[in-house]
Amino acid sequence: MKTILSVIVAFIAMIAPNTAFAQQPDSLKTATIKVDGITCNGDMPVIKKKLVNGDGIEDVSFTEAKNGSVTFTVSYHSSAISEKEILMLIEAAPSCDNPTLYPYKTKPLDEDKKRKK
Amino acid sequence: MRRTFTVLLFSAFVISMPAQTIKGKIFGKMESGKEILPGVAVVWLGTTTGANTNENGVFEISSDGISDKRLVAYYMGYLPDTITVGGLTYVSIVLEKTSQKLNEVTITETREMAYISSLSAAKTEVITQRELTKTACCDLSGCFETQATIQPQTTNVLTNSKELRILGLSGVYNQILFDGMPMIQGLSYTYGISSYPGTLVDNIYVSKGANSVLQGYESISGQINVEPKMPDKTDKLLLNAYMNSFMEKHFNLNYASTVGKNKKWHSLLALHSVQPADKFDRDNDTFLDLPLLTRYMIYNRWNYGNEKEKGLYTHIGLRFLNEQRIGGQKDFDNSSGAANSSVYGQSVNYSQPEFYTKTGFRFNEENAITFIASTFYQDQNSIFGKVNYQAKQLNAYANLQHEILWKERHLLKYGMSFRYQNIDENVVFSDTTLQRSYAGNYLTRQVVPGIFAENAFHWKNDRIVWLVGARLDHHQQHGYFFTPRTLIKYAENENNTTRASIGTGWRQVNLFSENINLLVSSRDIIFEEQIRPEQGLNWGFSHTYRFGKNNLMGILSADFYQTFFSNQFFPDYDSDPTKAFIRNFNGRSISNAFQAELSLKFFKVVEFKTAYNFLDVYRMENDQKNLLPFNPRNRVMAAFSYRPANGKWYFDLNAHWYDKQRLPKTSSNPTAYQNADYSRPYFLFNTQVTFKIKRFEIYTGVENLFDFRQLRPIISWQDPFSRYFDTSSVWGPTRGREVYLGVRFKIN
Repeated sequence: MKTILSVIVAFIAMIAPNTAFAQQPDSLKTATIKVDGITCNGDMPVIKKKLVNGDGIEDVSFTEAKNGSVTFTVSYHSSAISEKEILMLIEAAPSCDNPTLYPYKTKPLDEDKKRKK
Repeated sequence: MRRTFTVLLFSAFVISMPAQTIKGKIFGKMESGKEILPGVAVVWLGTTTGANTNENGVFEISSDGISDKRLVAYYMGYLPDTITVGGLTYVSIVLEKTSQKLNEVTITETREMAYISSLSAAKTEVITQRELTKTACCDLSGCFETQATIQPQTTNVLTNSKELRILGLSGVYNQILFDGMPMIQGLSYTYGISSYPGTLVDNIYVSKGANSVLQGYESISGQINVEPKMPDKTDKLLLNAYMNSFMEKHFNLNYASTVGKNKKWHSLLALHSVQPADKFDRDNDTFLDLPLLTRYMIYNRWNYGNEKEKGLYTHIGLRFLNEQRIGGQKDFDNSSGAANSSVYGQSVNYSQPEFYTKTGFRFNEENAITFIASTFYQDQNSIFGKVNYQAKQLNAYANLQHEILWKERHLLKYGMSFRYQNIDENVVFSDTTLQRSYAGNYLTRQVVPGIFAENAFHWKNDRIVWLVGARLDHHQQHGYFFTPRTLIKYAENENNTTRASIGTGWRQVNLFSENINLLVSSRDIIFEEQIRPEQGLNWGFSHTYRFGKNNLMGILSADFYQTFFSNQFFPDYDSDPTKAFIRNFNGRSISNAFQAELSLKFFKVVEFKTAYNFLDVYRMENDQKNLLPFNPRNRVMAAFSYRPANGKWYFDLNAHWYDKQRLPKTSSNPTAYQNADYSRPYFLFNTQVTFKIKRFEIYTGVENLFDFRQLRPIISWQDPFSRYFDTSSVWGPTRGREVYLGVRFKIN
């Protein structure tokens, strides 16, 4: 009985860490952000570059521009950067038309959904 | 058995614990901040287990079997760095360069100066605040030296009134908006553009040809929208002091603040003053080379909320302006406030309070309602030789519009507007020797309600934008006017954009303020018929090509616009040298305007722009083609700018070449008072150097470097009270070289 118990405990001990530790780092999150104020096709790469250059941001993708708006999907490590800081990064990105202007306005889409619920 | 159990349990944990994935990001330290480094090798210390960073500077590495959890990052040109991971799942490493003296060229100054917006259906040239710092840009009329679309033209050399011409057409045919509001109209047209200091301006949007119908029916040749500095985005404090070699002084103060517990209100307070120059008469014609100008202005703007966000937002602007201009003969003394019968002089004194607001409510992303209202009052007292001209104007404008975003991309705006203008003018002669007959009281009123609708279609990811709009307005005297306009943009790819536009416009004539020379000249005015509103149609097309990247970027653009007038007004000075006839002109009146422009930016520090303009602006009278005066048929502009990477100083130079210009006909005058039919071609050079020392910017420059002057531009200056006296033949600079020095102090 003891032998069986030992095997079970050892098996659980071997399995458990694999499920707990072998997964993606638990701080990895995804933010979906709507960005208004897009004035040309060059704006998205400018924003992406700004984001990619930020600490904690792993990947950035964006949709096609529609009527001056684009949705960005950002994978980030919450231990290094918060969603609010990401929004600030986008709003601090210069316009591709005129790098002296900072025209982008951000809105996290997840928050909107929560409000609707 | 207990031992077996312990061993099994321990070994299970030992095996399982290292099975962890570490992610991280590698940066290279830069002069200003840091940048991601793709391709960096990351290995566990003392092992060959490693990974490389991807294009985002991100690496992923397993700690399987690793006991010493220290990571080492290697990258050519950078010092290796070691970091202890411990129990972390995400780490970031910043590498330092092996030698900071190598690769020191870090460009921080990459801001463009002026650009052509790539989004809008109209070809809109944006003159930024950075562009405006290339010249002294004391007031709006002096802010266009580095671009070719707008041509400032002196309308009265004695008081230095100016208009801004687009497509070679008088400034009355373009619409000047301040913060989107029609504040330069009627009386304020004569001196209005000079009343906005450059330090108050954030951006100037210039578009030629047919435009949106939302702001009204008036713009025929184009639109100039002056955007003031935004209280929430501008420097907290800006001080500017300027003085030129004529001893004219300009002072500016801008102070931006946040108000309220929630900090939702933002305010900008701007003070501006000009103190007069000394008296100069370098060409010895007894007349001052430049008027003595004294101006005081206070402006306050309030912002609440954001029009792109849900809820309420409002912008409120308040301004008060007082200005005095004294010109004429050097000995003219204006202290009595009355016309002088022996010494010729002109003086203009006016006060102008203004108020405007743009208030709206956004219900959601698709729906918003906006209310725009503005009003100003001007009280002007002026003397032009022996003519006393007193005028009062009340202006009011309101616009209520609703916008709907449909199918997530197309934007429809519709609404109603109301325009009110009441100008009460009184003309009195202090001397009746010239037997002029037009003394009296003039009342010009404009009451125009209207409705409008405009839709912006956006297709193919905004590559095609089609703006189509129309408005219907009712003038209290002349009835209904229908104004359709349409503009289309097609961006073939990121580099090529083609635009086309066509549309009509109309406007009511404000006789004296828009033709100030009628009062200045000694001619009698003969009213032959009532002046009807001017009407015109403009069409045009343009192409913009963007090219290059990194160390060479450029924009090449070309456009052509044609304007036809179906009814136009201009005083007829040619039929009789002693009279000006007031009548409508229904004949053929056309403007053909071509512009080609090339902008280049080298290594992000050198900018070069050159532009060529061709103008053919004429009207057919008695089967003869009469060119509109003061339009050089050919004009070339070049601007060079050097801004070193350290940003501590910059240098600007611009040059202009003006072809000969047709001058007003003077052939019916006695020979002594005749001008040539054409001016001569000339060059103008302006330069400026700016030094930045901490929060100070010291700028110094020379306008008209080689001191080119049109000497004695006034006809009959020897006898200013004669019937041939005329100040309207100014085709070139009259004040000569102007050296200036200024200092700006900014707190961000």
